[in-house]
Amino acid sequence: MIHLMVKDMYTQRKTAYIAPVFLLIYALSWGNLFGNSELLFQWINGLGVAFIAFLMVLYSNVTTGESDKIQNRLVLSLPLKRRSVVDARYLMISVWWLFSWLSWIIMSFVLKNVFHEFGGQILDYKVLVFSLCFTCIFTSIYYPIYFKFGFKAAQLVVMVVFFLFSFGIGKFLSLKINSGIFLSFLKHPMISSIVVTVIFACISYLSSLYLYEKEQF
Amino acid sequence: MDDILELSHVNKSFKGFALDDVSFSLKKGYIMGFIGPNGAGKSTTIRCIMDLVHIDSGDVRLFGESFKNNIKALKQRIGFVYDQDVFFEELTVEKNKRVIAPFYERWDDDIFYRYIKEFDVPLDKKVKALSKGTKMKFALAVALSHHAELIIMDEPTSGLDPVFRKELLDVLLDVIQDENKAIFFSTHITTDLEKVADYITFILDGKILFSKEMEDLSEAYLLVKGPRSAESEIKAAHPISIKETSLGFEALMEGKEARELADQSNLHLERPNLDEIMYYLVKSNGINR
Repeated sequence: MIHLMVKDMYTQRKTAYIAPVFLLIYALSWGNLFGNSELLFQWINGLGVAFIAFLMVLYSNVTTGESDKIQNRLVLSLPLKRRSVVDARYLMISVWWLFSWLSWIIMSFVLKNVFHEFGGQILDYKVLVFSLCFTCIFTSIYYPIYFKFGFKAAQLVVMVVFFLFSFGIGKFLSLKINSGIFLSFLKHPMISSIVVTVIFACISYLSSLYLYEKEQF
Repeated sequence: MDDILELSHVNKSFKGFALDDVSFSLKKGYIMGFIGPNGAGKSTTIRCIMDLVHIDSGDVRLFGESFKNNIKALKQRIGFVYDQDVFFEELTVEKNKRVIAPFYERWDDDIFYRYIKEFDVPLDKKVKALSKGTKMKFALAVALSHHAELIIMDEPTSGLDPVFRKELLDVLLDVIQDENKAIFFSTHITTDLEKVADYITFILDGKILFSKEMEDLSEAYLLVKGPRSAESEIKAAHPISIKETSLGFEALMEGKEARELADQSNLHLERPNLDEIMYYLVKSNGINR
């Protein structure tokens, strides 16, 4: 499986490694907008890191339908199990997320200490957790669609989900819903996010595994 | 246990096409040519062997073991060459090697670089910049660099110039000097096989028409040629297929029947080449359908 992860790093598009630069623009605009709400600040910055991590996951999978089949013919002709291919894809999510998060740390450090443009806390563990959770949620939606319908369909669906989610956060918080499940979600946002992420990731992994095991190349 | 590859009653249905009860086997130390017209099921059969598609029923045995049990370990012993560009196009030859080599426990860099040098493959060029022939040479170098015991090749010579086709066949003959190895080689360029194959398996419309030793094949079928006046005589002997020519008739017949017929009348017998056998069998199948 480690060889498959190395393969993903080799085959990652070079442009993907430039993607974290977008975090600079993000940190200068959106990243500072919600300084008065700690939770919103953490969510928004977490979302920014997650978006870049997700872009990197996307870039590592860019294919057309036909080239995807051909690439799978090579990979599955090598001595490995189909399960390893799915495992490697899911493990690589954490690698791309780590890359994105570290880029964000470096950029916010530079912005804060050199340009004095960043008001938040740099090493905020809540941003770390939220960004990882959001990355996992988006990729959890992405991968089963990718394994079933290919790159383009998955990319389209998750981009729509991402923007609905981004704008939905603001709307959700502005509604000030103080009852039921929403209340406990707002009271314990981090634990709730982790629980939701674990559920999404488990369902997604099992679906992807099932779909990929059945797929024919 | 001498069978290195064995397919038993393999069935696989797709929309509009099916492999129907495919059975044949290949022994160690031999080259098997897998022939058939385009769309006959050659690549699909190879995809079944490599577990790229899941068979509906039957069994594929590799090195005496069912591939369902231990496909990962079995693939360590298989080298593959496909007709499509399966390698990572954006990476150089060297980087492709770096990605692929770690998967094989018995990968041998010395052998790889020896073949790369012998085939004149540029290591620093991206795969997408290579010609079809050079890509095939690279694929062959990869297939031969991990001490594979079974080399599976899907149309390796299609679209290649005669010089490289000759080189490739020489390499295969060299590989098969090791009696523990076997080569399974699909192609529709049958002249290549006449030079190297020990066995020929012929597939048509998803069904195996025959799987025979090359020597037996030249006994099994004969080409009967005669003047127009002999037309009714030939037709009465139920040839596999018959064709009118400018000089008379030409028919493919079972060897024994053809010899009996030739004994009785003034007909000329010839050993057909693989192209002719394939042509007449395909033609006959078209008539019988």
